[in-house]
Amino acid sequence: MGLKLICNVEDWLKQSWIDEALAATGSRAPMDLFQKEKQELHEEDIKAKNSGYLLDAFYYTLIEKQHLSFDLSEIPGMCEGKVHWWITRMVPGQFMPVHRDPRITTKKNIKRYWMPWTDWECGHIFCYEDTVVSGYRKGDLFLMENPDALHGAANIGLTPRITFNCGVEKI
Amino acid sequence: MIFIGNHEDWIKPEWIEYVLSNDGKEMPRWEFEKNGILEAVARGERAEFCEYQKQYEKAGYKYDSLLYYIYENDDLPFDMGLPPFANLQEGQGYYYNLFKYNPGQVLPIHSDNNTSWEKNCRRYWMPWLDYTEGHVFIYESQLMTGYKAGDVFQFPNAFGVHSACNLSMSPRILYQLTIFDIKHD
Repeated sequence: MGLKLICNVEDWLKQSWIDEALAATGSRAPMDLFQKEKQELHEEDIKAKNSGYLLDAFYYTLIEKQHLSFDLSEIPGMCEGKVHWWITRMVPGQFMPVHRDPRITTKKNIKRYWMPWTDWECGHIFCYEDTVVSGYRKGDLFLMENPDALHGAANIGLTPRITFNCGVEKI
Repeated sequence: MIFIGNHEDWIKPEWIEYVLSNDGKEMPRWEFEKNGILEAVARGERAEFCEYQKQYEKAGYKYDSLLYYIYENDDLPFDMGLPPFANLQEGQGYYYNLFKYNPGQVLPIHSDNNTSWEKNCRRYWMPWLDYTEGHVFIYESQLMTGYKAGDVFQFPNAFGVHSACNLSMSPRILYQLTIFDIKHD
């Protein structure tokens, strides 16, 4: 069970979306999620807090539908169903600790996808279980074969990193 | 990374305990202040630092932030001596780097070209703790995984591009040994 490359959908991916995601205000994660949006703490969050991560820090930007002028419901290469998506943006030095996605993976019959919106550069890190993904191109669509797998990300490179994350719930 | 062998026996549990319980020098701030690097770069000196420093600044890294800890002899109440794999020959010198990355700490991509004066340079990398998911060390595009405490790896090229971070829930300690010729043309 790994991270499986399905296809590349760069032709579908509009540069204007990428530009908007680069510029969007979004939510400063995790600080805004718990302070402004009053999100409930999950076990994963408590584990991170107990390890020294700060819940009121700004580790990355979470961008959702309400932050953008477009919505994405039909994405080529993905299965059909109810789409839950979000975008993460990391400027150099930002990161996301290893975690599972309980808000998504507790849903039944979920397929979890990951798609970079920027070409891979040295220092753009996505860890999925014991692997790190490198050499990818923007628009590469990956299936997380185990939707509940431990994963984490960091940008210890020199340019911003944007990824599209998605769970498709079969109804 | 070239696997050399496991030398866990050399690492004393009290060394690990000490590093876990005590912080070393705050990097990169300490190095910048100690060596006056910003001033030197502004004067057009230390060209070996200029390229990365300019890129880091442009990317938004702050030289005075705390990214990770480094330990030198004056930070440690014990003398490690040389590890058994060092095999130092006459005319060779060495130095070590001992790092601690708490969860959330990072080392941006870089190559140690500033040490390119070191001839016939060999660099070894030795984790002091077992690998856990989120302990990231990348050489070129190779992620080191599944290693055990005391495993020793040699950099294929001592000046290769590498980076590190800790996205896990536990600290990460690394020992790095660099051996080079003292006398050369």
